Amino acid sequence: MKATKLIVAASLALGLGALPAQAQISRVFVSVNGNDLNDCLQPGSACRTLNGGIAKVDTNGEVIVIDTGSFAGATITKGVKINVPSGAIAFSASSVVVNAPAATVVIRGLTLKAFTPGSGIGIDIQAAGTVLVENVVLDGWTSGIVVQSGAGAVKLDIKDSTMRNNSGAGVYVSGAGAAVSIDQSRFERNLIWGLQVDVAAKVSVSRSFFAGNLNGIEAQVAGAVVDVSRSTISGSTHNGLLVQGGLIRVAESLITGNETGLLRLSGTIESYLDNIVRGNTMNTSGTVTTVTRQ
Amino acid sequence: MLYQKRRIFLVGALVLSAGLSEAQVHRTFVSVTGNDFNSCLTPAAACRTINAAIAIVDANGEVIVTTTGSYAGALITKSVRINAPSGIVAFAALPITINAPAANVAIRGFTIKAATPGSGVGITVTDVANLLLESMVVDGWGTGVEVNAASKISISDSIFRNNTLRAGIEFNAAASASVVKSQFENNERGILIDTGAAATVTASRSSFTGSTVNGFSVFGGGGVFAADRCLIANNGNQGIFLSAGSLVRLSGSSITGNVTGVSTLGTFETFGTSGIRGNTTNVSGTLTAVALQ
Repeated sequence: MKATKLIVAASLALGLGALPAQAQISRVFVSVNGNDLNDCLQPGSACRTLNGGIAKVDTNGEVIVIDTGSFAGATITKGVKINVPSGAIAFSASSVVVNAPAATVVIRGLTLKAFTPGSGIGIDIQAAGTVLVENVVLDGWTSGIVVQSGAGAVKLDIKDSTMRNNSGAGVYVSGAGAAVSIDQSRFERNLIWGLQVDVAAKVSVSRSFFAGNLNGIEAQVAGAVVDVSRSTISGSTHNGLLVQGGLIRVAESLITGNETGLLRLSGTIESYLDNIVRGNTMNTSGTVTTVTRQ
Repeated sequence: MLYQKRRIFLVGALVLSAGLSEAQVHRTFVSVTGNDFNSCLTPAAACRTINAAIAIVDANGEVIVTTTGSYAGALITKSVRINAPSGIVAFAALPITINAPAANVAIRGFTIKAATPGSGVGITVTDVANLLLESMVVDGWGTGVEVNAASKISISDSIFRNNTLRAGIEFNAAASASVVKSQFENNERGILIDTGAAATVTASRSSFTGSTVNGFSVFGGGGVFAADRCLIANNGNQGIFLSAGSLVRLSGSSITGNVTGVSTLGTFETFGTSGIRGNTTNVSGTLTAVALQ
Protein backbone atom coordinates (compact mmCIF):
# COMPACT_ATOMS: atom_id res chain seq x y z
CA MET A 1 0.00 0.00 0.00
CA LYS A 2 2.78 2.35 0.89
CA ALA A 3 4.52 1.68 -2.39
CA THR A 4 1.34 2.39 -4.29
CA LYS A 5 0.93 5.70 -2.52
CA LEU A 6 4.50 6.62 -3.35
CA ILE A 7 4.03 5.88 -6.99
CA VAL A 8 0.86 7.94 -7.07
CA ALA A 9 2.59 10.77 -5.29
CA ALA A 10 5.51 10.63 -7.68
CA SER A 11 3.24 10.63 -10.67
CA LEU A 12 1.41 13.66 -9.37
CA ALA A 13 4.65 15.42 -8.67
CA LEU A 14 5.96 14.70 -12.15
CA GLY A 15 2.75 16.00 -13.59
CA LEU A 16 3.11 19.23 -11.69
CA GLY A 17 6.76 19.50 -12.61
CA ALA A 18 7.69 21.05 -9.29
CA LEU A 19 9.40 18.86 -6.79
CA PRO A 20 11.22 20.89 -4.17
CA ALA A 21 8.45 20.34 -1.67
CA GLN A 22 8.38 16.59 -2.16
CA ALA A 23 9.15 14.85 1.08
CA GLN A 24 10.90 11.69 0.00
CA ILE A 25 13.81 11.59 -2.38
CA SER A 26 14.73 7.99 -3.04
CA ARG A 27 17.23 8.70 -5.82
CA VAL A 28 19.14 11.58 -7.35
CA PHE A 29 21.21 11.84 -10.50
CA VAL A 30 24.72 13.16 -11.06
CA SER A 31 26.14 14.22 -14.41
CA VAL A 32 29.23 15.95 -15.68
CA ASN A 33 26.79 18.42 -17.25
CA GLY A 34 24.84 18.85 -14.02
CA ASN A 35 24.78 21.62 -11.45
CA ASP A 36 24.58 21.23 -7.71
CA LEU A 37 21.96 23.98 -7.67
CA ASN A 38 19.64 21.69 -9.64
CA ASP A 39 17.04 19.57 -7.86
CA CYS A 40 18.95 16.45 -9.11
CA LEU A 41 15.73 14.45 -9.29
CA GLN A 42 16.02 13.61 -12.97
CA PRO A 43 18.88 13.02 -15.37
CA GLY A 44 17.92 16.28 -17.07
CA SER A 45 18.38 18.23 -13.86
CA ALA A 46 21.29 16.30 -12.39
CA CYS A 47 23.76 17.41 -9.77
CA ARG A 48 27.39 18.02 -10.73
CA THR A 49 29.14 16.33 -7.80
CA LEU A 50 28.69 13.22 -5.70
CA ASN A 51 28.46 15.34 -2.56
CA GLY A 52 25.75 17.45 -4.17
CA GLY A 53 23.78 14.30 -4.87
CA ILE A 54 24.40 12.78 -1.44
CA ALA A 55 23.24 15.92 0.32
CA LYS A 56 19.93 15.89 -1.53
CA VAL A 57 19.01 12.23 -1.39
CA ASP A 58 17.26 10.71 1.59
CA THR A 59 19.06 8.39 3.93
CA ASN A 60 19.46 5.02 2.19
CA GLY A 61 18.71 6.64 -1.14
CA GLU A 62 20.56 6.08 -4.39
CA VAL A 63 22.94 8.48 -6.12
CA ILE A 64 23.09 7.52 -9.78
CA VAL A 65 25.91 8.74 -12.02
CA ILE A 66 24.75 8.93 -15.60
CA ASP A 67 27.84 9.77 -17.63
CA THR A 68 31.61 9.72 -17.75
CA GLY A 69 33.39 12.54 -15.97
CA SER A 70 35.20 13.68 -12.88
CA PHE A 71 32.96 14.06 -9.85
CA ALA A 72 35.21 15.11 -6.94
CA GLY A 73 35.31 12.96 -3.83
CA ALA A 74 32.58 12.26 -1.35
CA THR A 75 31.96 12.53 2.34
CA ILE A 76 29.31 10.03 3.34
CA THR A 77 27.67 10.52 6.71
CA LYS A 78 24.48 8.52 6.19
CA GLY A 79 23.29 5.37 4.49
CA VAL A 80 23.55 5.87 0.74
CA LYS A 81 24.19 3.92 -2.46
CA ILE A 82 26.43 5.41 -5.13
CA ASN A 83 25.78 3.67 -8.40
CA VAL A 84 27.82 4.06 -11.57
CA PRO A 85 27.01 1.78 -14.51
CA SER A 86 29.85 -0.14 -16.10
CA GLY A 87 29.52 1.98 -19.23
CA ALA A 88 30.68 5.15 -17.51
CA ILE A 89 33.92 6.14 -15.82
CA ALA A 90 33.11 8.13 -12.73
CA PHE A 91 36.49 9.48 -11.84
CA SER A 92 37.60 11.12 -8.65
CA ALA A 93 41.00 12.36 -7.61
CA SER A 94 39.69 13.05 -4.12
CA SER A 95 38.93 10.55 -1.39
CA VAL A 96 35.65 8.97 -0.46
CA VAL A 97 35.29 9.25 3.31
CA VAL A 98 32.69 7.07 5.03
CA ASN A 99 31.77 8.33 8.47
CA ALA A 100 28.28 6.97 8.89
CA PRO A 101 27.91 5.00 12.12
CA ALA A 102 25.72 1.90 11.75
CA ALA A 103 24.72 2.88 8.22
CA THR A 104 24.84 0.78 5.06
CA VAL A 105 26.87 2.35 2.27
CA VAL A 106 27.29 1.05 -1.27
CA ILE A 107 30.03 2.36 -3.54
CA ARG A 108 29.75 0.94 -7.03
CA GLY A 109 31.70 1.73 -10.14
CA LEU A 110 33.98 4.60 -9.14
CA THR A 111 37.52 5.07 -10.40
CA LEU A 112 39.42 6.66 -7.52
CA LYS A 113 42.91 7.83 -8.28
CA ALA A 114 45.07 9.96 -6.02
CA PHE A 115 45.72 13.49 -7.12
CA THR A 116 49.31 13.11 -5.91
CA PRO A 117 50.60 9.56 -6.28
CA GLY A 118 51.17 7.89 -2.94
CA SER A 119 49.03 10.29 -0.91
CA GLY A 120 45.66 10.06 0.78
CA ILE A 121 43.26 7.16 1.15
CA GLY A 122 40.90 6.10 -1.61
CA ILE A 123 37.98 4.86 0.49
CA ASP A 124 38.50 5.89 4.09
CA ILE A 125 36.10 4.02 6.36
CA GLN A 126 35.97 5.85 9.66
CA ALA A 127 32.59 4.55 10.81
CA ALA A 128 29.85 2.44 9.24
CA GLY A 129 27.70 -0.61 9.78
CA THR A 130 28.20 -2.16 6.36
CA VAL A 131 30.19 -0.94 3.36
CA LEU A 132 29.85 -2.67 0.00
CA VAL A 133 32.46 -1.82 -2.61
CA GLU A 134 31.70 -3.12 -6.09
CA ASN A 135 33.57 -2.67 -9.35
CA VAL A 136 35.81 0.09 -8.03
CA VAL A 137 39.35 0.99 -9.09
CA LEU A 138 41.64 2.39 -6.38
CA ASP A 139 44.90 3.61 -7.83
CA GLY A 140 47.90 5.46 -6.47
CA TRP A 141 46.82 6.30 -2.94
CA THR A 142 48.71 5.68 0.27
CA SER A 143 46.18 2.92 0.76
CA GLY A 144 43.26 2.04 -1.46
CA ILE A 145 40.71 1.09 1.19
CA VAL A 146 41.26 1.53 4.91
CA VAL A 147 39.07 0.32 7.75
CA GLN A 148 40.26 2.74 10.41
CA SER A 149 40.82 1.61 13.97
CA GLY A 150 37.97 3.81 15.13
CA ALA A 151 35.58 2.10 12.72
CA GLY A 152 35.46 -1.03 14.86
CA ALA A 153 33.38 -4.00 13.80
CA VAL A 154 32.39 -2.74 10.40
CA LYS A 155 31.32 -5.22 7.74
CA LEU A 156 33.10 -4.62 4.44
CA ASP A 157 32.54 -6.49 1.19
CA ILE A 158 34.79 -5.85 -1.79
CA LYS A 159 33.86 -7.40 -5.10
CA ASP A 160 35.18 -7.10 -8.65
CA SER A 161 37.54 -4.32 -7.69
CA THR A 162 41.14 -3.40 -8.44
CA MET A 163 43.63 -2.02 -5.93
CA ARG A 164 46.83 -0.93 -7.66
CA ASN A 165 49.90 1.27 -7.30
CA ASN A 166 49.10 2.25 -3.74
CA SER A 167 52.21 3.14 -1.74
CA GLY A 168 51.08 1.34 1.43
CA ALA A 169 48.38 -1.30 1.13
CA GLY A 170 45.69 -2.07 -1.38
CA VAL A 171 43.37 -2.81 1.54
CA TYR A 172 44.34 -2.10 5.15
CA VAL A 173 42.18 -3.44 7.97
CA SER A 174 42.70 -1.76 11.32
CA GLY A 175 39.18 -1.87 12.78
CA ALA A 176 38.95 -4.42 15.60
CA GLY A 177 36.21 -6.96 14.97
CA ALA A 178 35.81 -6.00 11.33
CA ALA A 179 34.47 -8.67 8.98
CA VAL A 180 35.85 -8.24 5.50
CA SER A 181 34.97 -10.35 2.46
CA ILE A 182 36.89 -9.93 -0.78
CA ASP A 183 35.83 -11.71 -3.95
CA GLN A 184 37.11 -11.63 -7.53
CA SER A 185 39.37 -8.66 -6.97
CA ARG A 186 42.90 -7.74 -7.94
CA PHE A 187 45.76 -6.33 -5.92
CA GLU A 188 48.60 -5.24 -8.16
CA ARG A 189 51.85 -3.36 -7.60
CA ASN A 190 51.04 -2.06 -4.17
CA LEU A 191 54.33 -0.99 -2.68
CA ILE A 192 54.06 -2.70 0.71
CA TRP A 193 50.99 -4.94 0.97
CA GLY A 194 48.18 -6.12 -1.21
CA LEU A 195 46.13 -6.77 1.92
CA GLN A 196 47.18 -6.12 5.49
CA VAL A 197 45.21 -7.11 8.59
CA ASP A 198 46.63 -5.27 11.55
CA VAL A 199 44.02 -6.06 14.19
CA ALA A 200 41.82 -8.87 15.47
CA ALA A 201 39.49 -9.07 12.49
CA LYS A 202 38.19 -11.73 10.14
CA VAL A 203 38.97 -11.39 6.47
CA SER A 204 38.14 -13.81 3.69
CA VAL A 205 39.60 -13.65 0.22
CA SER A 206 38.34 -15.77 -2.64
CA ARG A 207 38.97 -15.94 -6.37
CA SER A 208 41.32 -13.01 -6.17
CA PHE A 209 44.63 -12.13 -7.69
CA PHE A 210 47.69 -10.64 -6.05
CA ALA A 211 50.62 -9.71 -8.29
CA GLY A 212 53.78 -7.75 -7.80
CA ASN A 213 53.12 -6.41 -4.34
CA LEU A 214 55.96 -6.27 -1.83
CA ASN A 215 53.88 -8.64 0.33
CA GLY A 216 50.71 -10.24 -0.99
CA ILE A 217 48.75 -10.73 2.24
CA GLU A 218 49.88 -10.18 5.81
CA ALA A 219 48.25 -11.10 9.11
CA GLN A 220 50.03 -8.92 11.59
CA VAL A 221 48.71 -9.57 15.09
CA ALA A 222 47.10 -12.24 17.24
CA GLY A 223 43.40 -12.47 16.45
CA ALA A 224 43.81 -11.53 12.82
CA VAL A 225 42.29 -14.33 10.73
CA VAL A 226 42.60 -14.38 6.96
CA ASP A 227 41.02 -17.13 4.85
CA VAL A 228 42.43 -17.33 1.35
CA SER A 229 40.83 -19.63 -1.20
CA ARG A 230 41.05 -20.14 -4.94
CA SER A 231 43.38 -17.22 -5.33
CA THR A 232 46.68 -16.49 -7.04
CA ILE A 233 49.52 -14.79 -5.20
CA SER A 234 52.48 -14.21 -7.46
CA GLY A 235 55.45 -11.97 -8.01
CA SER A 236 55.67 -10.54 -4.51
CA THR A 237 59.04 -8.90 -4.05
CA HIS A 238 59.14 -10.29 -0.53
CA ASN A 239 56.40 -12.62 0.68
CA GLY A 240 53.29 -14.16 -0.83
CA LEU A 241 51.54 -14.85 2.48
CA LEU A 242 53.10 -13.51 5.66
CA VAL A 243 51.97 -14.22 9.22
CA GLN A 244 53.54 -12.22 11.99
CA GLY A 245 50.60 -12.92 14.29
CA GLY A 246 47.18 -14.48 13.99
CA LEU A 247 46.24 -17.00 11.34
CA ILE A 248 46.15 -17.36 7.59
CA ARG A 249 44.32 -20.34 6.14
CA VAL A 250 45.05 -21.07 2.50
CA ALA A 251 43.13 -23.41 0.21
CA GLU A 252 43.17 -24.24 -3.49
CA SER A 253 45.52 -21.40 -4.27
CA LEU A 254 48.53 -20.81 -6.49
CA ILE A 255 51.51 -19.20 -4.79
CA THR A 256 54.41 -18.75 -7.15
CA GLY A 257 57.14 -16.38 -8.17
CA ASN A 258 57.41 -14.72 -4.79
CA GLU A 259 60.65 -14.32 -2.88
CA THR A 260 59.11 -16.44 -0.10
CA GLY A 261 55.80 -18.16 -0.80
CA LEU A 262 54.55 -18.77 2.73
CA LEU A 263 56.37 -17.10 5.62
CA ARG A 264 55.38 -17.74 9.21
CA LEU A 265 57.28 -15.67 11.75
CA SER A 266 54.70 -16.08 14.49
CA GLY A 267 51.07 -17.20 14.59
CA THR A 268 49.81 -19.92 12.26
CA ILE A 269 49.60 -20.78 8.59
CA GLU A 270 47.08 -23.53 7.88
CA SER A 271 47.09 -25.34 4.57
CA TYR A 272 44.56 -27.87 3.30
CA LEU A 273 47.19 -29.68 1.25
CA ASP A 274 45.59 -28.55 -1.96
CA ASN A 275 47.76 -25.54 -2.79
CA ILE A 276 50.46 -25.13 -5.37
CA VAL A 277 53.41 -23.54 -3.57
CA ARG A 278 56.16 -23.71 -6.10
CA GLY A 279 58.61 -21.56 -7.98
CA ASN A 280 59.23 -19.14 -5.17
CA THR A 281 62.84 -18.39 -4.28
CA MET A 282 61.92 -20.09 -1.00
CA ASN A 283 58.59 -21.87 -1.04
CA THR A 284 57.93 -21.94 2.68
CA SER A 285 59.68 -20.60 5.74
CA GLY A 286 58.46 -21.48 9.19
CA THR A 287 55.93 -24.12 10.13
CA VAL A 288 52.96 -24.72 7.88
CA THR A 289 50.18 -26.56 9.70
CA THR A 290 48.30 -29.00 7.52
CA VAL A 291 44.58 -29.54 7.92
CA THR A 292 42.56 -32.37 6.44
CA ARG A 293 39.71 -31.62 4.11
CA GLN A 294 36.28 -32.66 5.23
CA MET B 1 58.70 -6.72 7.19
CA LEU B 2 59.74 -3.95 9.47
CA TYR B 3 58.19 -1.10 7.63
CA GLN B 4 56.94 2.15 8.97
CA LYS B 5 53.47 1.00 8.36
CA ARG B 6 51.49 3.01 10.82
CA ARG B 7 52.86 6.35 9.91
CA ILE B 8 52.07 6.06 6.26
CA PHE B 9 48.42 5.49 6.97
CA LEU B 10 48.24 8.64 9.01
CA VAL B 11 49.04 10.71 5.99
CA GLY B 12 45.54 11.97 5.87
CA ALA B 13 43.11 12.16 3.07
CA LEU B 14 43.80 15.83 2.68
CA VAL B 15 43.47 15.85 -1.04
CA LEU B 16 41.10 18.65 -1.78
CA SER B 17 38.59 18.73 -4.54
CA ALA B 18 40.31 19.90 -7.62
CA GLY B 19 38.76 22.66 -9.61
CA LEU B 20 39.06 22.69 -13.32
CA SER B 21 41.32 25.71 -13.24
CA GLU B 22 44.05 23.90 -11.35
CA ALA B 23 47.47 24.06 -12.85
CA GLN B 24 47.80 20.32 -12.36
CA VAL B 25 46.00 18.18 -14.88
CA HIS B 26 45.24 14.86 -13.31
CA ARG B 27 42.74 13.66 -15.89
CA THR B 28 41.85 14.46 -19.46
CA PHE B 29 38.97 13.31 -21.65
CA VAL B 30 38.92 11.93 -25.18
CA SER B 31 35.88 11.74 -27.42
CA VAL B 32 35.13 10.95 -31.03
CA THR B 33 33.58 14.43 -31.24
CA GLY B 34 36.57 16.07 -29.51
CA ASN B 35 39.33 18.21 -30.90
CA ASP B 36 43.00 18.11 -30.03
CA PHE B 37 43.01 21.91 -29.78
CA ASN B 38 40.57 21.71 -26.87
CA SER B 39 41.67 21.90 -23.25
CA CYS B 40 40.59 18.24 -22.82
CA LEU B 41 39.78 18.96 -19.17
CA THR B 42 36.08 18.14 -19.40
CA PRO B 43 34.06 15.72 -21.51
CA ALA B 44 32.61 18.68 -23.37
CA ALA B 45 36.09 19.95 -24.21
CA ALA B 46 37.56 16.53 -24.94
CA CYS B 47 40.58 15.75 -27.08
CA ARG B 48 40.11 13.76 -30.24
CA THR B 49 43.13 11.43 -29.94
CA ILE B 50 44.79 9.51 -27.17
CA ASN B 51 48.19 11.01 -27.91
CA ALA B 52 46.92 14.54 -27.46
CA ALA B 53 45.31 13.66 -24.16
CA ILE B 54 48.47 11.94 -22.97
CA ALA B 55 50.50 15.01 -23.85
CA ILE B 56 48.22 17.27 -21.80
CA VAL B 57 47.75 15.14 -18.70
CA ASP B 58 50.36 15.13 -15.96
CA ALA B 59 52.58 12.14 -15.38
CA ASN B 60 50.53 9.58 -13.45
CA GLY B 61 47.35 11.18 -14.74
CA GLU B 62 44.32 9.47 -16.23
CA VAL B 63 43.11 9.67 -19.82
CA ILE B 64 39.41 8.87 -19.95
CA VAL B 65 37.64 7.89 -23.16
CA THR B 66 34.01 8.99 -23.16
CA THR B 67 32.48 7.68 -26.38
CA THR B 68 32.71 4.85 -28.87
CA GLY B 69 35.04 5.68 -31.73
CA SER B 70 38.45 5.25 -33.29
CA TYR B 71 41.32 6.98 -31.52
CA ALA B 72 44.51 6.27 -33.47
CA GLY B 73 47.40 4.63 -31.66
CA ALA B 74 49.52 5.95 -28.85
CA LEU B 75 53.11 6.61 -27.93
CA ILE B 76 53.43 6.43 -24.17
CA THR B 77 56.57 7.89 -22.63
CA LYS B 78 55.45 8.56 -19.06
CA SER B 79 53.31 7.07 -16.32
CA VAL B 80 49.67 7.26 -17.38
CA ARG B 81 46.40 5.34 -17.16
CA ILE B 82 44.21 5.13 -20.23
CA ASN B 83 40.69 4.21 -19.24
CA ALA B 84 37.79 3.27 -21.51
CA PRO B 85 34.59 2.04 -19.86
CA SER B 86 33.03 -1.29 -20.70
CA GLY B 87 30.03 0.29 -22.36
CA ILE B 88 31.94 1.64 -25.34
CA VAL B 89 34.36 0.42 -27.97
CA ALA B 90 37.53 2.50 -27.92
CA PHE B 91 39.10 1.35 -31.14
CA ALA B 92 42.59 1.82 -32.57
CA ALA B 93 43.96 0.46 -35.82
CA LEU B 94 47.36 1.93 -35.12
CA PRO B 95 49.86 0.45 -32.69
CA ILE B 96 50.59 1.46 -29.13
CA THR B 97 54.23 1.85 -28.17
CA ILE B 98 55.33 2.12 -24.57
CA ASN B 99 58.77 3.55 -23.99
CA ALA B 100 58.58 4.89 -20.49
CA PRO B 101 61.49 3.73 -18.32
CA ALA B 102 60.58 3.31 -14.63
CA ALA B 103 56.97 4.32 -15.30
CA ASN B 104 53.64 2.76 -14.34
CA VAL B 105 51.24 2.42 -17.25
CA ALA B 106 47.71 1.00 -17.29
CA ILE B 107 45.53 0.58 -20.35
CA ARG B 108 41.95 -0.47 -19.77
CA GLY B 109 39.22 -1.24 -22.22
CA PHE B 110 40.80 -0.74 -25.65
CA THR B 111 40.13 -2.69 -28.83
CA ILE B 112 43.24 -2.55 -30.97
CA LYS B 113 43.11 -4.18 -34.34
CA ALA B 114 45.63 -4.11 -37.16
CA ALA B 115 44.71 -2.14 -40.25
CA THR B 116 46.25 -4.95 -42.31
CA PRO B 117 45.45 -8.36 -40.81
CA GLY B 118 48.49 -10.33 -39.68
CA SER B 119 50.88 -7.39 -39.77
CA GLY B 120 52.69 -5.28 -37.24
CA VAL B 121 52.73 -5.36 -33.46
CA GLY B 122 49.72 -4.17 -31.50
CA ILE B 123 51.46 -3.11 -28.31
CA THR B 124 55.24 -2.82 -28.22
CA VAL B 125 56.77 -2.66 -24.77
CA THR B 126 60.15 -1.04 -25.34
CA ASP B 127 60.62 -0.08 -21.71
CA VAL B 128 58.36 0.34 -18.69
CA ALA B 129 58.51 -0.70 -15.05
CA ASN B 130 54.91 -1.86 -14.65
CA LEU B 131 52.24 -2.35 -17.29
CA LEU B 132 48.65 -3.32 -16.58
CA LEU B 133 46.42 -4.35 -19.47
CA GLU B 134 42.79 -4.75 -18.44
CA SER B 135 39.76 -5.66 -20.53
CA MET B 136 41.66 -5.36 -23.79
CA VAL B 137 40.99 -6.86 -27.19
CA VAL B 138 44.15 -7.30 -29.28
CA ASP B 139 43.18 -8.62 -32.70
CA GLY B 140 44.73 -9.31 -36.06
CA TRP B 141 48.30 -8.19 -35.67
CA GLY B 142 51.43 -10.14 -36.56
CA THR B 143 52.19 -10.12 -32.84
CA GLY B 144 49.60 -8.85 -30.40
CA VAL B 145 51.94 -7.68 -27.65
CA GLU B 146 55.72 -7.74 -27.88
CA VAL B 147 57.63 -7.39 -24.62
CA ASN B 148 61.22 -6.28 -25.11
CA ALA B 149 62.04 -5.20 -21.58
CA ALA B 150 62.31 -6.87 -18.18
CA SER B 151 59.04 -5.28 -17.10
CA LYS B 152 56.39 -6.44 -14.68
CA ILE B 153 53.20 -7.00 -16.58
CA SER B 154 49.69 -7.88 -15.44
CA ILE B 155 47.01 -8.83 -17.91
CA SER B 156 43.41 -9.44 -16.94
CA ASP B 157 40.06 -9.99 -18.60
CA SER B 158 41.56 -9.59 -22.06
CA ILE B 159 41.32 -11.30 -25.43
CA PHE B 160 44.22 -11.88 -27.83
CA ARG B 161 43.03 -13.27 -31.12
CA ASN B 162 44.03 -13.69 -34.75
CA ASN B 163 47.63 -12.58 -34.25
CA THR B 164 48.92 -14.87 -36.91
CA LEU B 165 52.59 -14.16 -37.54
CA ARG B 166 54.16 -14.81 -34.13
CA ALA B 167 51.96 -14.86 -31.05
CA GLY B 168 49.29 -13.23 -28.95
CA ILE B 169 52.08 -12.15 -26.61
CA GLU B 170 55.78 -12.57 -27.33
CA PHE B 171 58.41 -12.17 -24.63
CA ASN B 172 61.92 -11.26 -25.76
CA ALA B 173 63.26 -10.23 -22.36
CA ALA B 174 63.28 -11.41 -18.75
CA ALA B 175 59.89 -9.94 -17.92
CA SER B 176 57.60 -11.26 -15.23
CA ALA B 177 53.99 -11.44 -16.27
CA SER B 178 50.69 -12.49 -14.73
CA VAL B 179 47.71 -13.37 -16.88
CA VAL B 180 44.27 -13.90 -15.38
CA LYS B 181 40.87 -14.53 -16.93
CA SER B 182 42.08 -13.97 -20.46
CA GLN B 183 41.60 -15.75 -23.77
CA PHE B 184 44.14 -16.49 -26.50
CA GLU B 185 42.39 -17.65 -29.65
CA ASN B 186 43.54 -18.42 -33.19
CA ASN B 187 47.01 -16.95 -32.87
CA GLU B 188 50.10 -18.60 -34.31
CA ARG B 189 50.98 -19.17 -30.66
CA GLY B 190 49.00 -17.99 -27.69
CA ILE B 191 52.07 -16.92 -25.74
CA LEU B 192 55.69 -17.27 -26.82
CA ILE B 193 58.70 -16.95 -24.56
CA ASP B 194 61.34 -16.63 -27.22
CA THR B 195 64.83 -18.06 -27.32
CA GLY B 196 67.04 -16.63 -24.61
CA ALA B 197 64.28 -14.71 -22.87
CA ALA B 198 64.16 -15.75 -19.21
CA ALA B 199 60.61 -14.54 -18.77
CA THR B 200 58.30 -15.87 -16.09
CA VAL B 201 54.62 -16.05 -16.99
CA THR B 202 51.89 -17.11 -14.59
CA ALA B 203 48.50 -17.73 -16.15
CA SER B 204 45.34 -18.55 -14.24
CA ARG B 205 41.76 -19.11 -15.34
CA SER B 206 42.73 -18.43 -18.93
CA SER B 207 42.42 -20.28 -22.22
CA PHE B 208 44.87 -20.92 -25.03
CA THR B 209 42.90 -22.35 -27.91
CA GLY B 210 42.89 -22.77 -31.66
CA SER B 211 46.45 -21.61 -32.28
CA THR B 212 47.87 -22.66 -35.62
CA VAL B 213 51.04 -23.85 -33.85
CA ASN B 214 51.18 -23.92 -30.02
CA GLY B 215 49.00 -22.79 -27.18
CA PHE B 216 52.08 -21.87 -25.21
CA SER B 217 55.72 -22.07 -26.30
CA VAL B 218 58.83 -21.74 -24.17
CA PHE B 219 61.93 -21.67 -26.35
CA GLY B 220 65.46 -21.77 -25.06
CA GLY B 221 66.60 -21.73 -21.49
CA GLY B 222 65.32 -19.89 -18.49
CA GLY B 223 61.70 -19.35 -19.36
CA VAL B 224 59.06 -20.33 -16.80
CA PHE B 225 55.37 -20.87 -17.42
CA ALA B 226 52.95 -21.65 -14.61
CA ALA B 227 49.41 -22.49 -15.68
CA ASP B 228 46.65 -22.90 -13.11
CA ARG B 229 43.04 -23.65 -14.02
CA CYS B 230 43.68 -23.05 -17.69
CA LEU B 231 42.23 -24.60 -20.83
CA ILE B 232 44.73 -25.43 -23.54
CA ALA B 233 42.80 -26.96 -26.41
CA ASN B 234 42.56 -27.53 -30.12
CA ASN B 235 45.92 -26.10 -31.05
CA GLY B 236 47.39 -27.05 -34.43
CA ASN B 237 50.52 -28.59 -33.02
CA GLN B 238 51.40 -28.76 -29.31
CA GLY B 239 49.29 -27.50 -26.46
CA ILE B 240 52.43 -26.63 -24.53
CA PHE B 241 55.87 -26.78 -26.09
CA LEU B 242 58.85 -26.63 -23.76
CA SER B 243 62.53 -26.49 -24.72
CA ALA B 244 65.48 -27.71 -22.67
CA GLY B 245 66.39 -25.57 -19.70
CA SER B 246 62.90 -24.18 -19.27
CA LEU B 247 60.20 -24.95 -16.77
CA VAL B 248 56.44 -25.43 -16.78
CA ARG B 249 54.17 -25.94 -13.76
CA LEU B 250 50.72 -27.18 -14.56
CA SER B 251 47.83 -27.40 -12.12
CA GLY B 252 44.08 -27.72 -12.32
CA SER B 253 44.17 -27.42 -16.08
CA SER B 254 42.78 -29.25 -19.07
CA ILE B 255 44.90 -29.97 -22.13
CA THR B 256 42.82 -31.57 -24.83
CA GLY B 257 42.22 -31.74 -28.55
CA ASN B 258 45.75 -30.74 -29.51
CA VAL B 259 47.93 -32.76 -31.88
CA THR B 260 50.38 -33.18 -29.01
CA GLY B 261 49.17 -32.14 -25.59
CA VAL B 262 52.55 -31.56 -23.99
CA SER B 263 55.92 -31.69 -25.69
CA THR B 264 58.74 -31.16 -23.25
CA LEU B 265 62.51 -31.25 -23.31
CA GLY B 266 62.68 -29.21 -20.13
CA THR B 267 61.25 -29.64 -16.64
CA PHE B 268 57.50 -30.14 -16.66
CA GLU B 269 55.99 -30.23 -13.18
CA THR B 270 52.47 -31.43 -12.52
CA PHE B 271 50.50 -31.58 -9.30
CA GLY B 272 48.16 -34.45 -10.08
CA THR B 273 45.30 -32.05 -10.68
CA SER B 274 45.26 -31.64 -14.46
CA GLY B 275 43.81 -33.62 -17.32
CA ILE B 276 45.98 -34.25 -20.38
CA ARG B 277 43.64 -36.34 -22.48
CA GLY B 278 42.14 -36.49 -25.91
CA ASN B 279 45.18 -35.23 -27.77
CA THR B 280 46.53 -37.30 -30.68
CA THR B 281 49.63 -37.72 -28.50
CA ASN B 282 49.05 -36.68 -24.93
CA VAL B 283 52.61 -36.33 -23.64
CA SER B 284 55.97 -36.34 -25.35
CA GLY B 285 58.76 -36.17 -22.79
CA THR B 286 58.83 -36.55 -19.02
CA LEU B 287 56.44 -35.15 -16.45
CA THR B 288 57.63 -34.57 -12.89
CA ALA B 289 55.04 -35.09 -10.17
CA VAL B 290 55.05 -32.58 -7.33
CA ALA B 291 52.95 -32.79 -4.16
CA LEU B 292 50.40 -30.22 -3.19
CA GLN B 293 50.93 -28.38 0.06
